[in-house]
Amino acid sequence: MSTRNRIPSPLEPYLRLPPEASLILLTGTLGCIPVWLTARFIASVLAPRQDVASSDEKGSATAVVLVSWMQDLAFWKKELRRMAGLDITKLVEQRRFSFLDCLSLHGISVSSALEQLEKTICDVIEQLKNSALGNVVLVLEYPDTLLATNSTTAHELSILLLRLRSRVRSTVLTCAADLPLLSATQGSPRNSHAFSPLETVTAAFLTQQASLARFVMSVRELDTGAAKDISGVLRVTRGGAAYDVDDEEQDSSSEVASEVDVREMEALYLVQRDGNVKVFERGTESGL
Amino acid sequence: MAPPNLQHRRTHNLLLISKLLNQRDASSPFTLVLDSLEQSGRPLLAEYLRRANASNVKTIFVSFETLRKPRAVDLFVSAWSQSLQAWQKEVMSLTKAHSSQREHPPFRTMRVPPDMLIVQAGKLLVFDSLNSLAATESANLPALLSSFISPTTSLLAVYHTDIHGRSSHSQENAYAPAPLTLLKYLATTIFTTHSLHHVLARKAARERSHVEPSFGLEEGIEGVLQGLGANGTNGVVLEMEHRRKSGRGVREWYSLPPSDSTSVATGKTRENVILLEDHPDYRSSDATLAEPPGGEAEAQYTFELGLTEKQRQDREGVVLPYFDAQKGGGEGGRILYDMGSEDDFDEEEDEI
Repeated sequence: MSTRNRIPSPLEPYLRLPPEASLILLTGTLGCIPVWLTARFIASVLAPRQDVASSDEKGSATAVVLVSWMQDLAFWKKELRRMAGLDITKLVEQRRFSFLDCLSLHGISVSSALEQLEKTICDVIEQLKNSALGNVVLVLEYPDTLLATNSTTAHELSILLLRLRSRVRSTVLTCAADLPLLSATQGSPRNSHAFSPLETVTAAFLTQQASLARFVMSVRELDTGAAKDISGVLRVTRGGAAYDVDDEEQDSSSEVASEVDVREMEALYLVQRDGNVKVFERGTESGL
Repeated sequence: MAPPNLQHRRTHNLLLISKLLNQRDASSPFTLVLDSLEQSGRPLLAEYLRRANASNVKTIFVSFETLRKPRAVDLFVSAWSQSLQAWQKEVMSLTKAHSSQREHPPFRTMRVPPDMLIVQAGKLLVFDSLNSLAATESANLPALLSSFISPTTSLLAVYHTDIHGRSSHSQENAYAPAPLTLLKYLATTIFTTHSLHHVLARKAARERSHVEPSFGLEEGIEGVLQGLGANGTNGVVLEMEHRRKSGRGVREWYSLPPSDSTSVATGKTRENVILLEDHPDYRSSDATLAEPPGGEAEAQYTFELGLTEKQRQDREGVVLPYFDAQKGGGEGGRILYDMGSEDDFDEEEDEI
């Protein structure tokens, strides 16, 4: 683990180990992908937690299952080392990390992909569960690819997600939120036309997941175009499930992990060449 | 004429919402909650469940997208993991089972008033999302939903309006109405949830004759899913449409404050829902969102320029002299003059 604190301080409250049964949605666009955010989430979950370690030895063990429909293991190995200083090979040996490459897995059998997929993911989760004592965080990167390849419907995919979510502690979901993928929603200006099936399913899936999420972190490009000292805009908003957790907190205030109330925010960020990320308010210097 | 009218509407509509939320007298057999990404319907569901618990109504939560059983719920059916027939059967058996159990009210009968007894037998069936059901069973959605409703069971269902109704492009139901249209037609009460932040921001813009801002998906910005201020913690704005048995509709805007633990602890529900017009942030028209009430303009002076509420009312109440002269028209010129005591009337002056 790195000695440097690689998690930008404004993001710290969001990146803690999420409360049980929660879903966190990260969205990106074509020009702005949330890889750095995913990497920091993984790092933060896997980092040794000082707050809990003293009280409960067993509860502190966490593991991450990363399922990607977008990148392969080599990419993530490199990115996690660069961005978060994590050594994947070591973590895999410790049985705290597991990677599933659905990009190539998916290519093998398109038709029976979904059941096969669920079984594979569940097997991996079960393997890690034994060593991590239940605290498995599932990270799904771009499962909406399944919709794009026409292998499933939005309804089936959300059911699959529910089934997977019931097996792990919490889930981090990465999705693309480009404008065309959201055009089939009620709020969009052109809602009288017939939409293509792809537009409909992606919009339905994305909006449903956002209404189930504890919070939504979305990155997008700067409205005014590319800039040298700003990579993009990060917006954190409260999802539809933010209220559920608030209710729980009132009753069980002792729960350490869930005591943070989700606050919305919007800030600019800069991913530097060495993988470090700076998050800063609009109008303030990025420190370059 | 406005104040007495508002007063009347206030008492009337507050009674109505209290009746609806407490599910008294089976006032609304099918309540539809239309929510969006900008404002989830969860706080309203929580309010319903809280009140149901307080008045011993059995709550059955049918989940299509919720993983964990909410704390306030008595019975939880995870419909997402089952086939339609399976969960339908389960819900049916639960509604039946509890109605027979409830026929012998336990102790405490002495203390509850007679109308509470009817409530005790009632059940509240909650559907957390009708979207998936509407997508798969759009043709027999009305029949399916009405099969659950009985004199003792009322239905509370959420529909996410962001998700576009038509999910299939099948030919056979090309002429059928969209599921949302059907649901709106069926419902006896429709609640549309709005974020308080957005409502206030729109009002502020309206008052300055600016273009009303749009939030979230309506912004149309690449990569934006939700607007800032969505699902706020300081309450929900409810737009209600209630259809009476006579068919007359009542529309009203309410503000539902966030549920605080103190009111739960004390048990007895004091009505906390208010009309949107009575919300302190909505009422004060000159206090905008961004600037605090004591803005820069006031800080420059050492004396008070504004009027207090009482001063303004007094000022409005003053009847100006010769007020009646403004009303009476068409009589041509008329001089109204009251003789003062120091005036001495000079008869000759008139003749000049």
